[in-house]
Amino acid sequence: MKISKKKSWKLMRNLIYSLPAIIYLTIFFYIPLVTMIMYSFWHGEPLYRVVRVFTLENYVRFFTEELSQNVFISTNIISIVTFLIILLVAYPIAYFLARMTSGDTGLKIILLILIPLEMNYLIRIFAWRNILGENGLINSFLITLGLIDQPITFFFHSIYAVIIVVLHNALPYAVVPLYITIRSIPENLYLAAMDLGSNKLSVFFRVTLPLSMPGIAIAFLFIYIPLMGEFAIPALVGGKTYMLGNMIVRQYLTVGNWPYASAATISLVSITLIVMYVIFKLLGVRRLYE
Amino acid sequence: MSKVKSFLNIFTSTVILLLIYFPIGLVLLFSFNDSIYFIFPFKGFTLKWYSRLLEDPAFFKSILNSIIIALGATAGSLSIGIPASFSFVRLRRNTLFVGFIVIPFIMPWLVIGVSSLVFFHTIGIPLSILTVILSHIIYSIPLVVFIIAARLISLNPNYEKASMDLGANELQTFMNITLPLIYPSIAVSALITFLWSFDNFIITFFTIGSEVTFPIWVWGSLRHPTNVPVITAASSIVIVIGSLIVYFLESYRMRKGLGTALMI
Amino acid sequence: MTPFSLELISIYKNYGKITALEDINLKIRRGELLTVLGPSGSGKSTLLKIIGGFEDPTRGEVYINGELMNNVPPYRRPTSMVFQDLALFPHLNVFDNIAYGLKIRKYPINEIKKKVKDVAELLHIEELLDRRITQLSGGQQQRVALARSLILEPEILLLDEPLGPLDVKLRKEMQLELRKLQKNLNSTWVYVTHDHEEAMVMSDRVAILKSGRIIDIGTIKEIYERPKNRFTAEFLGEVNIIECVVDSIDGDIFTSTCGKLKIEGRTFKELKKGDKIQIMIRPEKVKIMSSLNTQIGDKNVLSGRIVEVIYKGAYSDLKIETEDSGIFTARTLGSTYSVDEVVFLKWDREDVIVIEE
Repeated sequence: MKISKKKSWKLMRNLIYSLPAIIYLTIFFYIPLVTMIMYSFWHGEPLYRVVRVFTLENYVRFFTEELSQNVFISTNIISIVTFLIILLVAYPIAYFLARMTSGDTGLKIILLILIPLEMNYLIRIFAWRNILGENGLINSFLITLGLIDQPITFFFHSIYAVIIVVLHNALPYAVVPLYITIRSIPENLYLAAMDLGSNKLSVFFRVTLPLSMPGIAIAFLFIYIPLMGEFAIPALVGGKTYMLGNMIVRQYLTVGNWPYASAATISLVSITLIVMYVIFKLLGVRRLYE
Repeated sequence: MSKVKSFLNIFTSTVILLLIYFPIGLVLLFSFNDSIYFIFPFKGFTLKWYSRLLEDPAFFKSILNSIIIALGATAGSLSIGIPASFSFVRLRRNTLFVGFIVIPFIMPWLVIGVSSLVFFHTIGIPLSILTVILSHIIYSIPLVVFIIAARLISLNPNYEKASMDLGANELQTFMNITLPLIYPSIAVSALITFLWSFDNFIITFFTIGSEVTFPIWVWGSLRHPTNVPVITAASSIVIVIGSLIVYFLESYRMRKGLGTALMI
Repeated sequence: MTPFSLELISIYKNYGKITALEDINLKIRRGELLTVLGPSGSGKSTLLKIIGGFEDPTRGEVYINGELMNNVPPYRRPTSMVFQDLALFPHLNVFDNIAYGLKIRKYPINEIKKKVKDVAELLHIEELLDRRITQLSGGQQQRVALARSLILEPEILLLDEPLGPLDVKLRKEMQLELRKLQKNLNSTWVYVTHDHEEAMVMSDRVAILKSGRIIDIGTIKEIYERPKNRFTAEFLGEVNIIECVVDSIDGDIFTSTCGKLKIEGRTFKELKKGDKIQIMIRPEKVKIMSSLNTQIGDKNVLSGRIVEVIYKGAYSDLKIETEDSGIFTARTLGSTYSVDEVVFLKWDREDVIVIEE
């Protein structure tokens, strides 16, 4: 009894400094989330009409209607496939930088990859539009060569354009965590593995790859979750590509059915929390910031 | 092995050049091209897109608004986040507390955006630059906390003990020892928050109302194809200034061993 | 005024269910250098932290200069600590590190300059005052850390294995210099180490700490030659331990049987016939002979075959397999013995020590 009292006193003392943060996040983040949860259980109609009676219809609709089902499934597929493609590109780069460069060359190249990161991503979307678009560089190049007469819209306004732009955007989010984890595998481990008779390929599959799982998990967190809520890239370069984020935006701003939009958003929140929980369980929460 | 190495070397350079720098270089190049299309050959050198941009009051207004928002978000998140990072260091094994701080950081920005929209609408606060600042601070509190807490965790606890042992009380120790030692991480977190807030589109999109920030201006202009060269010019300016800032920031962080922007 | 700088009365420290310190009682006279010697995990650092005020004891009282110090924060205690990692402030230069405590106490700048100069001269670092901490060698950093503490003229200086990272030669030099400094200043030091050779140089008295308890305390000569227990005996160097049964007692002289070996010695405590005892003989007290003019079976003599010769430079340790007393260690200054040679061992009864378990 005495000990638990002392403990809770200590907890209070440690919490004091974060009181402003706790209050702020409660008011401006957690209460809005609860507000959305409330909306999601109300009856809604287009043009912002809301009837405040309890109903499960929004969730039933979100999970049973064909359109939303398709959107939900395709958004997941796009996000996972894009993640895998990014991983395929990022892993060799991270491995090369972590294991095959000397001195701080690796860090310098990481710097090169990071510089465009904090530059507005709409500008990057814009840049790609100028390359892949109907009047873009590739089409004009092909027409000049006489290979085609009509611009192809195949590159642009398609899922491929979405993947390329996301690859451009998210590459650093995969390279950096992978670089850090591969880098932190002690050199002696490789030597020991080879000493014990593994060849270089089996060292990679038995030592490097399993030990870089934390980096892969972090990369997944940084790529999959933002993609599940992405709407600007598909809207600008995706053509008919319609992702969960687009649906939520449409329901909030165009259709105006807030309860249904909120149900979709809360579903997205739940997925985020589940993925976050699984990954933190996998890594141990401490790994994320140490 | 050297075959693998040279392959990876070429692969890395190709990806960095083609995927990351080529599109950006193209934007810079075509901002001086005398044509509204991105088509080779180059029609001729011109500065008219820049002069047209500088005549556009909406562009200046958007830059000014973005700066105001970024300053507000930085000030707010630093004053809330710096003290919180001290709690975070002590409570970093408390899953509930860590989860509370981490969740707004992991959540897709769309969720922060729409929940802010719903919230402000429900309690009747009109959307404005202020609501943008308020919604940006949600994400940048954890950002600041992680950067500063990482520095605090790596700080040798004996520095503070030694200071107290030599006669300094808690406040004197904080002012003379702790603050000077974590100062670089405070500066870095301020700069990162500023850049992030300046550039943020997704959260801003939902909380801005009828005002314009730079990303919102780009978003609007993208829908008018005739505006393409002007955006090219604006983008070039932002690319050059932004890259310089990020270059100095990141090389400073790497020298100081503060980790990188992503892993914090 | 009490003659004791420090009195610890029945100190206990628990971390949850783990007991770090148990019933520590210690009195240190003014001007004394007490070394706390123990293996890692024995609670040495915890003890220093409790004296310095960084940890509160779970139970017990800390008196410094006769004043109760429990609940007094570190910055109001007349103690100063030299940390294991030194904890020199990396953002301040040498001068500012040394002057830190005086600046906090708002001394006038001229006085600070004078005092820093004095203490820097004492430690031979007057040339380094403008340097950054990172520009100093390991040994120079030790001196700066010492200066930073000594300038405050603490009632008690606490040193937590400060010489750990130095190489052997430099460490030996620093040990002697520190010892001399402590004597000249006539201040009270508590020195923590796990190195028994360091403890021999660096102490008026040594306290042996094991699993959070002080199991032996005394001058280094006392505990080396008359250790209270087997742990102390073995911790302070190579030792032979033999289990025996007391045969007879005559005054303070006893004789005992240990298998075929008979040992005669002097005891300082009550023994009676039939008592099982442990006897300690240091290897350097054992005389090695190639032939013998007394007979095997006589008291304090033994024979055996050399199984190993361990060359240690100034001396060699011989491992000798005896008939039924196991492996016996003896020390020789020459190196004329070789493996498989049969030798005879003999010792004086004054060198026979009865120890407690």
